[in-house]
Amino acid sequence: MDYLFHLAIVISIYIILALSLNILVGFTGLFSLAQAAFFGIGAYASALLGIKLGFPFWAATAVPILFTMLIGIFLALITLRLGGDYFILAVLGFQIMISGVLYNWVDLTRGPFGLYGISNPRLFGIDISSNFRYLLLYGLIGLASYGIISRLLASPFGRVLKAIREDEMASQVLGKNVVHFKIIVFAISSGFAALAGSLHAHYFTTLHPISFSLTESILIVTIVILGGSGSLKGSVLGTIFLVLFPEALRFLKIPSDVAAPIQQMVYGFLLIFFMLFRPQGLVGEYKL
Amino acid sequence: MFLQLVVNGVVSGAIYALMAVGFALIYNSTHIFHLAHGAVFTLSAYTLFFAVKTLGLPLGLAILTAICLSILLGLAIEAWGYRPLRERKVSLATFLISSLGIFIVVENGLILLFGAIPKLITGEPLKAYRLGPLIVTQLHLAVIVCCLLIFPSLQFFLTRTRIGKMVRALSDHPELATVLGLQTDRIYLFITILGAALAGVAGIFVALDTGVTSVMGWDAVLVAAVAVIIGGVGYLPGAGIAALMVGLIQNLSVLRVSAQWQGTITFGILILFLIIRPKGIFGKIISSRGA
Repeated sequence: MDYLFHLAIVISIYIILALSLNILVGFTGLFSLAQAAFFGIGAYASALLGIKLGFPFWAATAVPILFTMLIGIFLALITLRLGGDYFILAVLGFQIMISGVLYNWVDLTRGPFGLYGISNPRLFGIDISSNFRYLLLYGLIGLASYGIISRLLASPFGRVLKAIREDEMASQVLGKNVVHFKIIVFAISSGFAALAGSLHAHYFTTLHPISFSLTESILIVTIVILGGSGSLKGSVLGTIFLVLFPEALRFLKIPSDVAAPIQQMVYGFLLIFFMLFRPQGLVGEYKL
Repeated sequence: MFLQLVVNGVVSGAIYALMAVGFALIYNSTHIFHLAHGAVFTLSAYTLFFAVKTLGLPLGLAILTAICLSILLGLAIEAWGYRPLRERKVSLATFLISSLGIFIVVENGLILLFGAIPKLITGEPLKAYRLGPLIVTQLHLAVIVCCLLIFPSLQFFLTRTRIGKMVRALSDHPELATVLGLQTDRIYLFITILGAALAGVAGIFVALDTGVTSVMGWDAVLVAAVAVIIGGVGYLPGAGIAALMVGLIQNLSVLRVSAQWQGTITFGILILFLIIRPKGIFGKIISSRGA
């Protein structure tokens, strides 16, 4: 039972992460391979605030979200005035740089040795210690995130985003400042990724740079593509599928040094397959 | 020490240049952000390892095999990966994701076959020459000689021959090229062969120099992509020169910071360029194609 709770907790975290990328890919047409970097910045910032400065859970989540949003805005300001390919490469580069920092700035992040000793969340005097309590808290946060994002996208703001996605030039002609909107979306997207990062840090209570590598970014992209870019339900579906898939490989008793490349190959095949035959994903509306 | 690092930088820069020019060739004419270029590079390195160590082929034959397989993989990617997408006129992001998928599949397929442990192609004597305080290995000389042969002939080929001119026509104005009756599919195949062969040569050099690792493709293709943008999109020699520059900076940076920061430095250079001079060193116009 505890194992099922564990899976549900991980799914909650990844749903937030997948939604955060989907806002970007599915609603502005911007393709980012750096979601794991924002996830990692959030996680490490949250862990370090807790360990070094003794911040309580809520503050150690809120501050990293704001911090990561600022970094997102900075990156967007540099990259968004350039064309699509430049954006993709620069963002990919950002992922590599953040991975480099997490691995090599050993004094701060403990690098490959991993960061230990992150405390459990405590809210309103309640210690979140059992998997059941984690699931309640994280499930609620996940639901709230879903609600906020779907409300946002149904608002006039969201309609402008869809307009930009469908026809950037036309939105510009209608007097919408496209770059301005994209920067806001980038900030929101990095903020939610940081939220997922903080939840990750406080659940596993240890951090390792490998959880925030390019491979992880590719996984998040695969989730969004599989579910369908632009479809929030699709992202939930994609997350459930791709989080449970490695567990299934474990049940089949495949040794981990074989299972890891097989897992990656399946991601690769999914990307190729969906681009060729179903670019809108399982339940999506928008063809990338 | 400094001069030695310059020599090493020029050599690794020259290898990057092989990758970058191949990437630029494909990128300029198809606008595909060809991440799978890294897969071709990695396949070439593993093929060389397999041919030399397992099959015991002589080095020359092994190199030939590696380049042939690289070209075959390149052609397969073009024919089964990109052409169906091109026919449906999908967005460039679709190509990119597909390319990424192909890269992941090939890379991890190789890991499944050969394991994730780095491989060395030892037994090949690396004769070294001493020039005063400098040490230059035979391989380093081979890299330089190879590049001095390949790049001028490529330039000659693209500017002076009929098919080379067709390649450039297609890069400059694809629709016009089609209207004029150029067989674009054939030209794409041709570019693919050239690009894959260049990546194959680069893979062979890296395999002989530092060995074969499963992640080597990422480093190579990312540096290539960075070099193409720094050099200025649309100008082939620019990509080569920028790649040389990245190789030099990476090697010289060892004087100040540990070698693990190389990836971060590469992209630091890119971001710096994007801020200061987004059209690249030699770029004339900045193209803002949609993703």
